[in-house]
Amino acid sequence: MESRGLVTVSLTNMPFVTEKIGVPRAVAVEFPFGMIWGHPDDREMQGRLLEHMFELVETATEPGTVVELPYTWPEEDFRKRDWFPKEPTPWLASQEGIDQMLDFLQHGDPMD
Amino acid sequence: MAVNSFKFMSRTLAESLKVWPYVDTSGEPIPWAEPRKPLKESTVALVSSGGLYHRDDTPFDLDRERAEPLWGDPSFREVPRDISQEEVRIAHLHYDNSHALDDCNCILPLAALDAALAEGRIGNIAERHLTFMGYQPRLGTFVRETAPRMADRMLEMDVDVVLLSSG
Repeated sequence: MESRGLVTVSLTNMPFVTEKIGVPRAVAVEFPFGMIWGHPDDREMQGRLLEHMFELVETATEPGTVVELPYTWPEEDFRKRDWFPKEPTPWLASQEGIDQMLDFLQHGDPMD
Repeated sequence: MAVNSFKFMSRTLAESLKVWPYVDTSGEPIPWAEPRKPLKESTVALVSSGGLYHRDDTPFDLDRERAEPLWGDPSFREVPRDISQEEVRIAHLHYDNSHALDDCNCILPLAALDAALAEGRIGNIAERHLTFMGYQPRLGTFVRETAPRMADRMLEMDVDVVLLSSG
């Protein structure tokens, strides 16, 4: 998208991956999957994250800029562990799936 | 690094992602576009990898992923900017969808974007936002076909700024 002239900003909860692959601009939060913009109905947090991303559009000067935000997930919510899927993830659901994943991790081509 | 990338994962997934065969981008520069106009004149679109789709649209293919666990549906969907919560459906097997099914703003911040437009912070919102299902171990089709088509759609809708987020 960026090479076609579109200005992009990512919101990530995995800066480890984001920095590895390299994106033009990103903000990082320590929020769980399925709630990366904050809790349901938390309009204030969603607005704040949006504003952080807008500011990065206005201020970033070089590709690969990742800004880590200080927001944390409340400890009492962390204990709920309510972001894991209710149906087991297919590759983790059977030994066959796990074996296929192990093979992919060792020999797989991500551009297949 | 202050943000712990693995905090919300099972150990199995975390260990997998640490040795994941990421696409090697080290030999090429990160693409970069300079903003061509101020944000208050820019059209903004969202892209989410959270597997969200409109109820009248085709779901992402989860049955094939269940049968072939190393395959993820590489297609994308378009959702209207004024999609209502009742119209939101999600097909994604890698996180608990129930929160976003209660309020999709926790993966697609439609209300906050509307507020930014009302305040004049941005110039416009794209007619449609784009979504896909982010579990893509083999990225070939996604990178070669889906991503360029998503960029085409953005340009057709006169989008200037794209905000991407995961599920």
